[in-house]
This record gives sequence, C-alpha cells and structure tokens, in this order.
Amino acid sequence: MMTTTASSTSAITALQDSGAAYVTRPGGPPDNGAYRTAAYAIAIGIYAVYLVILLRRMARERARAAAR
Amino acid sequence: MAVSLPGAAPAPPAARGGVDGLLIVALVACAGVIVRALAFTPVDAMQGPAQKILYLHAPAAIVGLYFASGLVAISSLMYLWLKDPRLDRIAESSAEIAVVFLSIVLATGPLWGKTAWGTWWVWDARLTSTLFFWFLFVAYLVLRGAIEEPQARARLSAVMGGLATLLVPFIHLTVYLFRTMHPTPVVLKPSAPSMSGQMLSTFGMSTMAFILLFAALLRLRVRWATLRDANLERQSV
Repeated sequence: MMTTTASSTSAITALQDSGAAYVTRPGGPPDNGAYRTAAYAIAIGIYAVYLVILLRRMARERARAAAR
Repeated sequence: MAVSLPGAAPAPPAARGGVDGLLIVALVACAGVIVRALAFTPVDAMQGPAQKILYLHAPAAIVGLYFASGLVAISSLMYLWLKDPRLDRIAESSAEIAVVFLSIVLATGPLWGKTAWGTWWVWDARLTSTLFFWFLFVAYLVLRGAIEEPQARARLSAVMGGLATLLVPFIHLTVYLFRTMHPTPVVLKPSAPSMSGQMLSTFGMSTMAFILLFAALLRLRVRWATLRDANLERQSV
C-alpha cells in the first residue's frame, strides 16, 4: 500500500499525467459523498430556480402582450 | 428598435408561446451528464466522491467567466459603436446568466475546498478575484435597475460591462502569478490533460452540456427582454 510522502508525490503526479485512472490511497477513497451530494443539490436548485423565474417572467410578458 | 404600433402589426415573435426545443435538449443533456458523472464515472482514489464536484464547478466557471462574460464584453463594446438596442439586451441577458453560473462556482467551490484543502474558503488571489468579479456583475445588474432612461442605461452599463470583463484574464492567470490554494487547470493548459480518459470524457460532455444550457437560457432571456421592451414601447405610444 502506498503512503503519500514527499518522495511519492512526484510518482503520483507522473501517474496522473500518464492518464492512469487511479492512484491508490491508504484506506481507500475518503468518505465525503455528502459534500458531493450537497454540491449537486445546490447547483441543480440554482439552475431550477432561475429557469422558473425566466419562464414566469416570459409568461407574464406574453399575457401583457396578448392583452393589448 | 423595431416597434409595432398597437393593433397595426402582429405580436412580436417572442410573444408566441410554445415549447422551446433548444431548452429541452439542453436540460436533457445536463441531466444525462449528471447521471453519467454520478453513476458511470470512477471515483477519484485520492479525493473520493467529492472530486465529482469538478463536473459542475469547472464547466460553470468556463461558461460564466469565458462565454457569458466574454459575450457581455463583446456586445457592450459593439453597443457603444453601433447603438443597437438588441446588443444591449444581449449584454444584459448574458450578465444575468453569468451571475447564475458564477453563483454555482462560488457555492460548489467551498464544498470541494472543505474536502480537498480542509477549509471552506481562503482569501487567495483566485477565489477573491472571482468573488470580486461576481460582485461587479451584480453591481452591473443593480446599475441597470437604477437608471430609467433606456439610452443612458444602455450606454453606462455597456461601459461598466466592458470594463468589468477586463478582470477575466487576470482571474485566469492568478493561479500562475500568485501562490494560491486553487490548482492550475488540469484540462485547459498547453500540455496534455492530467485526467484519466473516462473522467476527461465526462468533463468534456459536461462542459458541452452546460454551454448548451447557457445558449438556451440566453435565448429565452433575450426573448423576454425583447418582449418586455416591445410592451413598454407600446405602452408609451
């Protein structure tokens, strides 16, 4: 199992540059899925809210145009 | 501006309803890349699942900083030259969408930073200049709302939009010019991308999908601004 030391840092960089999919980490990948989920939820929420605002604005102006 | 007199001409094209095909394609593409990123792209062995924030964070930055802001600069400068209100509407719309994309950059970045750096935020050159740029674009939109006279509003906001965008090349170079926590680009660099093939293809697809979303939102926003101006014009006649 590889430990992340100063001497192994260059080896990790070389592996990443070579296009290797994985560089092993002691104990496996960290358990931080909650941060990923939160980021996706926030981003989707922002896009959705903005889209709803745009569609509501559009509907309002169309109604105003149709009323004339 | 082409204005139709009340009762004399049909409603402007933007007034017609219907399904926006480009928007649907963009939403389907975005949903597809999110599924691909979450379910079919490998987990980074060093950073864990949080690394997948890349597929939202970086495309939002590319669209917000380069596409949307670039369009604000181009259309603002063109407006100052040609005085065409359509260019002002494009700049206004693009600036608003840039704020949306940059908000996502600023919201998702700290979540990734907490896992990768151990801190939500650092006042380094990249993060601080991006936050400052977001404030400039918010100020641009506030300025537009504060000026009632259309030509003065368009002229002043064109000057501000053009000048604010001068910050973009600086933001891009901050990771090279200063010692910063933010990494240098892993894809947009002279050498080969430092990313595995599967991750790179997901990143490429994600970038394309969000560019498509930007185009769809921009079209919708410009249509709304056109209709709004036509309604105001008809109201004042």
